[in-house]
Formats: sequence, structure tokens, C-alpha cells
Amino acid sequence: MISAQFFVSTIVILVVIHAMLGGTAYLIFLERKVAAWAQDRIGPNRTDFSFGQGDLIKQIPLAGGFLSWLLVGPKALFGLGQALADGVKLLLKEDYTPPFVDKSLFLMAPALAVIPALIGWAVIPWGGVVAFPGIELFGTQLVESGVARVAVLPINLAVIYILAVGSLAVYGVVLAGYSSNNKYSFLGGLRATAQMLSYEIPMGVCVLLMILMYRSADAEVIVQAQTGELPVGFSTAWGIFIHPLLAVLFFICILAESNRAPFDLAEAEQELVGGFHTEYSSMKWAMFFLGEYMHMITGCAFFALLFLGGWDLPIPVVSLLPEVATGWLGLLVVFIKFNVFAGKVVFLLFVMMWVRWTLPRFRFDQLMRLAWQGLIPLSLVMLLLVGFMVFMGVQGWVWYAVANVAVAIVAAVVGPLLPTGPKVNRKVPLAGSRFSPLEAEPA
Amino acid sequence: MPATMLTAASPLNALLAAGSPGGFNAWAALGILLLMAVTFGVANLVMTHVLGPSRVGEVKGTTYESGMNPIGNARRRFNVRFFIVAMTFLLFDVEIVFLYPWAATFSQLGLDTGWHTIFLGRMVFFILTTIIAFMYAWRKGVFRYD
Repeated sequence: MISAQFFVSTIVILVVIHAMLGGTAYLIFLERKVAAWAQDRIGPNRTDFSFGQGDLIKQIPLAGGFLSWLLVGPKALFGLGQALADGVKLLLKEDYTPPFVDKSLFLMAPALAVIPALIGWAVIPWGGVVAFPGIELFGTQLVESGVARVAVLPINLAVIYILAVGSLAVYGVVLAGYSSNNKYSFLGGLRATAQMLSYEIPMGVCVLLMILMYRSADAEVIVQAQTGELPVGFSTAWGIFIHPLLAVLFFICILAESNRAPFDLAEAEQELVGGFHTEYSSMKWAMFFLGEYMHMITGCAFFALLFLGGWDLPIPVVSLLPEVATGWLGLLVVFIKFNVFAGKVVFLLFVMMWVRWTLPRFRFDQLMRLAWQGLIPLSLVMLLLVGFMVFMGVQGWVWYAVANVAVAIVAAVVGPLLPTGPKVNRKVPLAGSRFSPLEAEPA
Repeated sequence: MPATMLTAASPLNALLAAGSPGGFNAWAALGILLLMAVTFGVANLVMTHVLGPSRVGEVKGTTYESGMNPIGNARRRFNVRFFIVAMTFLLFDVEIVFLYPWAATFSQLGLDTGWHTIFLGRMVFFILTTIIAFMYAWRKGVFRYD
């Protein structure tokens, strides 16, 4: 007999892994549409599901008209076939392994980029807790009844699991960069590693502070604490209201962790051709992008979990959804919770794309300076401050929000006053150029 | 788990009181997911290898360096700054990992117990030692990339 938790977990796997893979394909489509929107273009709108054989499909006797309506539609289905066509194209491209690479590592790297991305979301509480009624068929109890969480892995170390698996993503990038034996790849790999390591620290401190607020690393408890269902003391608001500054820091960190613009130095086309995936082709190349987009999804789900109340759907004061879904009607509640959570994730993904087409890419020294001289000192100050506030027994979440805003203002005022080193971006005196004419040169 | 959480007798509290459900049933689903992930990764590698065409050539087999003839290979020394950043990362990461249990426990300690002060002292000691190391690295110019 299967336990309720195992049954629910399996259903979640089946639903979410398909949503994830299909979602990734359509995220790339969405990305191109958002890019088109940002650049005042139309974007991909030609590819339907007939893949260029629309005339041939019309010729099919009897079913031709219907199939043509289904696969082509009046407006070529707004280009929705693009994602599928891209996937098929990538599968059919030549999978070329250059002779100078480290073959085993070269093969392993794309798999190592995708696998952690595919298991990273295991602890996300998509639909809260459900009192599963059990399944009985022909007198035999197939699935026990019981209380189960709508997550793949119902452990109380959820947040630490996400951080741990998320850190594994760096291996795919490092190995791809190293094994390619190409200077562009190598530099891209080095940059990506330094970047991912640097931004993991402020991310870790943000998570630490949110654990301090919610008094638990358990994903379900974190959501319940934000809905006010559990008497956790100070946390009765969404995390983004308790710690607005930390929410901003955390969002910057997930952008950097998933190698998204403006932190996509690892694949900066203008400097490094393709960065760590220069030597990759066909589906192996695409797997890095699948990994990146899945990391975006996991990162956004993590953000929604910590700061946006998970599946919580509030009207101003009270939460609309019950804490435990009971009975068969409970499945509807779980469905709504799942969709609320997914809606938050999709919104955050849209923000990420918006950021990509709004902000220019950082230079590498700016990137490292932002992490080591901006985010890390700021997050350490927040850690000390919040530690002392908890020590003093401050209860209302408003005070924590005030502290956040105060730190942000002080940082904005004090930051420019701090002594800076020599100017990084100094001009190279090239004799005879238009910046340093020849007569300006000392004799 | 704070004691206040366990008072109400709702199914959620019963679940939380049981703590982390261990054993086969909790982790088996993760095993399935891991298996699916590995299968997906390997199947993609195999499929694209089988389905795609395969042609080799002398020029095709050279390193891509924007059209120039490649000079040497990429197995050469790299800037030591990347190594130092990795070391500094270790310093912070280990510290943060040590602080996770602290964070989960600290806010549950009662204000009247002495443990409260001791725990704060531990955190401050930890952070201050790290800040000293951080300042040293900063003054040494570890974070300057010019």
C-alpha cells in the first residue's frame, strides 16, 4: 500500500516536470516576445504547428480542412509552434565533439547543468498541505488516507536543500569551460564561477535572515508564517513587507545565480563569443539554456516562497485559502493554490526578462565590486542589525521594515562618501589618439 | 519547533509535530525525480548524437578563435584573483552554513533565559572574525579588478 505522501509527491512530479519542460520551451518563446515588446517589434509570429507543410495538410482528403484549422489556424497560432520547431531543429543538428576537448568532461557538462536544475524545485510547496482521503478500488485500499504536503520532498530543511542543489549548477559551467580547451570558454567558465560564488554569499545571508524571521527552514512553515496561520511572533506579513531591502538583494542574487542579464558575463557575446558554451552544438548547447531557464523558474519559486507568501492569496487582511485542504473539495483548493504559486512565478519570470531588456550588462570589475563591496557588507550589516532586534525582543514586523528602509537610506548616503581606490576605468594614454594628442606628450 | 505551534490540534500541526517524515516514503519521490532528471539528461545527449548528421574536417576540428589560427591551447595559467575569490568564498560560506541552525533556534529562545545572550554573543563573535578577515582582504586589494 502506498502512503498518501508518496502518492501526492508522484502526482506533483508528473505535473511539475511537464510544466517545467514545456514551460522552459515556451519561456524562450516568451523571452523573444518580451524582447520584441521592449524593442517595438512583433517577434516570432509565423511558425504554426504544420511546420511549413500547411498546403500539404490541406490536400488530405476529408480531414484536411479540420487539420488545417487545428494546426495552422487563421493567424498562424501567433507563432506558438516556434518552441516546438526550435526543439526539433536542435535535436536534428550535428552533435559535434571537437578533437581537442577533454571528451568525458565535455560530455558530462551539459548533463550536469540540467540535472541539478531539474531536481532543485523538489521542496517547493506548490499547494500547501492536503488531507488526502485515500483511494479504494474494488475493496482494496490502494492509497492510504493521511495528511500530505503538495511537494516532492517533504523535509524540514527545504530552504537549505534549495541552496545546496542550486550551488551544484556551477559544476556544469566550470566543466564546460575547462573541458572545451578554448580560451573563450575558459575565460567564460572562470568568470561564471567567480560570479556564482560571489553572489551565493549575500543570497545565503538573505536566506539566513528569513529563516531567523520565520523560525524554521521548513518550506510549509515559511508559507504558513507569512499567511499568519501559525503564531510565529513577528511574521504576519509577506516577507517582502517585512524585509523589502533583503527582497531586492535576493532578487539581484537570483539574477546573478542563474546567469541572467545584466549578469550574463559568462556568455557575453561581444567579448567572449559564447562564453563557456562556445564549442558546444546541437542539443548539448541547448541543455545549458534549459538549465538556465529551469534555474530561473526555481529561483523565482524560491523568491515567491520566501518573500511573496508562496501559495497565499490575500485580500487585504485575511488569507483567502484554508491552511489544510480537506476532502475531495480540497483538491480544488490545492489546484487554486498551485495556480496562485505558478502565477507569482510567471510574474517574476516576466520581471526577469524585463530587466534583461532594460539594463545593460555589467563589466566584470563592476560585477565583483557590486557583490563584494556592495551586497556582502550590506547583508552583513542587516544580519547584525536584525540579530540585535530579535535579541531586544522587537515583535512587530513594521519595525523590521523600518530598519530595512533606514539601512537602505544610510547606505545610499554613506556609500558615495566612503574612500574609493584609484579609478578603475582610466584612459590608456595612446600617443597620437584623439584622447591624447601628440603635443600633450611630455618631452 | 516552537511550543506555541503544537497547541492547536489541526492536521497541519500534527504533521509539523511529527517533524521531518523520514523513511522510504519521504525520499522515494525524490529518487524518482532524480531518475527522471538523469534519464532526461542522458537521453538528450544520446538522441542528439544519433539523430544529427556527422561530418568531420580538418578546419572544422580546430579551436574557434574568431577565425585566427589558434595560438597554443587554453591550458595555461590564469589570474590568481579567481583563486583568492574562491578562498574568500569558502570563508563566508562555511560561516553561513554554521549560522543556519543558529537562525532557526535563536528567535525561539525565551527572552528571560541566559541562552539568549550567549547565542547573540556567538553570532557576533562569528561575524566579527569574518569581518576582520573581510577587511584584511579588502585592504589587500582582493576585490579590485583593474
